[in-house]
Amino acid sequence: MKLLQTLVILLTICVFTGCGLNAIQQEGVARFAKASAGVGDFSARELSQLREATIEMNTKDIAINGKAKLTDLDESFDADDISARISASTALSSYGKLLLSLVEETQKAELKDASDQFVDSFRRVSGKNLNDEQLEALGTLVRGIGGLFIEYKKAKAVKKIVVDAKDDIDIICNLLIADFTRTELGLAQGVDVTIKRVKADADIALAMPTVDFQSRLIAVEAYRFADDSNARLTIVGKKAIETLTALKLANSQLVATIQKDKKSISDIRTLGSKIKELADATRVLSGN
Amino acid sequence: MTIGEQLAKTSDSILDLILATKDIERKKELREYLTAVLALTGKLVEAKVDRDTEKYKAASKALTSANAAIKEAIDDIKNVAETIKKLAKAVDLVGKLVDSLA
Repeated sequence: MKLLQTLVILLTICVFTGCGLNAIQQEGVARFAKASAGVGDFSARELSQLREATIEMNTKDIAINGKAKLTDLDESFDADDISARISASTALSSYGKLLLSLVEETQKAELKDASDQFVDSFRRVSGKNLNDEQLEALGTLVRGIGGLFIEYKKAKAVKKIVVDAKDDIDIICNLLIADFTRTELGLAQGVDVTIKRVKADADIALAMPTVDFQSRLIAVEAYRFADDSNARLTIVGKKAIETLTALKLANSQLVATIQKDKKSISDIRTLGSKIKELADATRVLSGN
Repeated sequence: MTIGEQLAKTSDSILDLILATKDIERKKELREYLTAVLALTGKLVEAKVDRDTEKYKAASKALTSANAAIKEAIDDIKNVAETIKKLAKAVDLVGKLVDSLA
């Protein structure tokens, strides 16, 4: 019975010292983690899409005798630059997914299996002294302590990781915001340059008196594609900036909730609707 | 107004003029101005994109370390069940020892 006493003492210590994340902290981490995964996946996809659009626009521009260079179809989207941005977006997404799996209850089955084995072994040793009810209570106790120990470990890991990663997440958000802003000399402004060049070149190609039907068709198609890219850059870019700004705010609130036990997670809660608006905008413009 | 905003505003105005004018020679003349503004914008964009690439790489590296720390924590949590299982084995062995001595 000495072992039972020790287990009861351990359980009591854990209950009274509060060893896990509280409900608000758990909700905050889970919501932030989902948003971070969503934003990371979106950015990786959208940056690749912008690169493809740039190459496509320049290809059409060359076809209409425009000013694009055949040797520089991707312009600002050099492989090294785009790969660094996609890696950062993927790291942001992985961070969200891993953080979510850390706070979600995924170890219950393993814990039950382990406690069943423990009770079976205990039955061999003290089975003669303990009845079935007492053995069942022992199993519940072992599971409970294992669960509390897991909650303690989760809380300890989350509290350190969320605080440590805060600045780097802010940096990635700021860099992505600059890349989605048309006037920040980032990738979006690079796309803006291509859009304007194609529009001007298509307009001039169509104004030429000797232009044949086939060339006119290519020029119209080039102009239409530049116009579609312009709409996408405007709408998706705006939503992306709003969502990344919201993610940054939520990041600060998450750290305050974790570190100072702040009760409000309003910024984190609004993230879900921002992510949905972003997904809707992307879906509408992709025609899905 | 930032340099990016100024350049965007200038190129917007020139493009609007190109689209509005009917005269082909005037369009071509304006396109030369537009090409010059866009070339300058493009150069500044490429320079900033390159500088930011280094910042992305550094932040990405740090976040990858955070992800490795989360994986470690997940493995550590899995070890709780493993520890209970090991404890069960130890109790089992003690039981067998007691049986053999009885």
